[in-house]
Amino acid sequence: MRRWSCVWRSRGYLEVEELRSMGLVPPPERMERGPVAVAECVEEIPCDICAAVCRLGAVSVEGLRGRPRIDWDRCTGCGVCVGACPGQAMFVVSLAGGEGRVTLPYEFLPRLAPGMRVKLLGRRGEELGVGEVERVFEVNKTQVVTVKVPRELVMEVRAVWPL
Amino acid sequence: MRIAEHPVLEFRRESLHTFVFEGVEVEAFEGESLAAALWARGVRGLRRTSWGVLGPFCMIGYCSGCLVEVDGRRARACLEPSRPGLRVGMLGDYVPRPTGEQPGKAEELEVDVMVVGSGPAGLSAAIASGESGLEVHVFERHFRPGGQLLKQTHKFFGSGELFGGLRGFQIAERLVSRAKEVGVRIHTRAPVLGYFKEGFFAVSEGGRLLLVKPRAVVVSTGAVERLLPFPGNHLPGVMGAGAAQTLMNEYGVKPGERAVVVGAGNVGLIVSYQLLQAGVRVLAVVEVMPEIGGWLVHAAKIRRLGVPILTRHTVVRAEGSEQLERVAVAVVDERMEPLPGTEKVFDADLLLLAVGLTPESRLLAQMGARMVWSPELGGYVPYRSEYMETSVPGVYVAGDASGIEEATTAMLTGRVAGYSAAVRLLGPRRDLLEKREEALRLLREARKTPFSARVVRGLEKVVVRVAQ
Repeated sequence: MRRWSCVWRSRGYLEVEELRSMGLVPPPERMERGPVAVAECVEEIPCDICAAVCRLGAVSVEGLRGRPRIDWDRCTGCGVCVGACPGQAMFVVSLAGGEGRVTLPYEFLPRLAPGMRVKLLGRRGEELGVGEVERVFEVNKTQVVTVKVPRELVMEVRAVWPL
Repeated sequence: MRIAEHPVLEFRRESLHTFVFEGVEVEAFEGESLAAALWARGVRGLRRTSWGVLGPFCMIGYCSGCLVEVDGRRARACLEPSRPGLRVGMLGDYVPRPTGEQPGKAEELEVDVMVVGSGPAGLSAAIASGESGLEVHVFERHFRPGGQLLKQTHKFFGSGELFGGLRGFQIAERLVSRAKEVGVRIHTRAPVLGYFKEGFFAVSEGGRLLLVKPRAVVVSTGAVERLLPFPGNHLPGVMGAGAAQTLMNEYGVKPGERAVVVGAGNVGLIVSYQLLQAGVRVLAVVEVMPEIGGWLVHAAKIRRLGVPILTRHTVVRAEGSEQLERVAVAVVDERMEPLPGTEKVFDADLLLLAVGLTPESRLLAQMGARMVWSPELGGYVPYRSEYMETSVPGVYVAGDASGIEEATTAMLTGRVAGYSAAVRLLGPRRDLLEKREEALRLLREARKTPFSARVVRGLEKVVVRVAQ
């Protein structure tokens, strides 16, 4: 087996276009309908936690090492996989009700709570503005945080940081 | 400085007491090592040598950067639990000399299976042998069992069967409690000193000499972090990535304020994220190759928090008077040589080396196991059968001591070794053979990733097929 050699391995993150070309980005119509998971996991990691925790059977991983695939019709965007994924590569995006929302994992201090305002960070750590935390729950000490973001940034915001 | 609050960990801080280091009172909590308490107090240099002051590098008892004198006795500060009233001092250049101590009468201990090391491999082996009904004793040099799992705070990849989704320290807790459940006896602060051809091992435990005579042995001694040669690499503040993990994740002691990490393999990427969780600024991750070496998801986690990964860069110099103050890095050319005029200097008090590990297999070599140098597996490793038996009958190897991989494969090779020991002592019982086959199957599955390609190539040269 050969080591992959891809531009993302020299830069350390994936661009949205790369995810889209691999068929991993749900169509805008689906995002308009409500929250849906995005699996930004493209290497053959021997892991199937996301599929194991999904009670709707919406995530499938071929063998132990396949890439996770989301069934966009089954997924309700509950976010359990976001908190469970050891690689922090699961996100939930939504454009429902005319508003943009991203659900992402957070493991820093202070602990976040609904109503708090946070810095929005992009894939390379660039600051993308300020957003408001809407909902928080916890999976084994990982906070799963839903934050309101501008609609055009649902595939760009990938981290939050306390203001 | 101690970490007051951590997003993932809770630190039990009980029984505050003091000990004295070079005339200065140092506060410590029960269960802290002297090295951790000293670092928390701001003490960086622990040894004065003819070429400068040294600090801890490995924090797991291999380097001698933390060798001190404790109540008149030499000890590694990282392996010594703090106790009230201890008198600790600097040693200077190391000159071995008799201590004048008279050892008490040696005690003899006959056991079915002796396991050396209580990391993921050793505990898994002990559980496998213990479940089979054998009397198993684990010997661990540290005062806490669990090995390097104790300082892993990230969730592990895998499936439920292999503790996937749990954090490393949580896996250690489960393995330790399962081992105790099946009757395994874990001896802590009990380093195995060596093997005698009469068939016993010398173990030092609680100031007495123990002569252990096992019917089967599993050597799961783990690995040591590699050092990188560059000027200033001896300065306190330059340490292995694992040493920083020990400080911040086991003891809740902040290893520094501003860090540079060398190596973008999984260890370097994960430790960078953990530094951020401990409140340390990560100025850069430096990687000599044109690409990261670890999983993309681990890199993405730190990139989105603004940590730069400088590929095709290397560290050229560490500077500081009594401790690290600055780190110089530079771009490398095709031959990995630093290019003049490309230097960047960071003001950093912490430089972590995550440039690979080397198997700690000296006990096996001393026992006369046939060893081989394997670049793919990280250093000297023993020849072994696919059932993890070395060239010495009844002596098995497991985990990183058999070749550098990761915790999941360590647990699986441990299981294989533990069941093999059981098969040797109890005969080829069907249940044992089946469980061993299942562990081997999971191992083959775990090694199918692109990262394992090199390991698999290495294994082809050291695994000897034998008829069972």
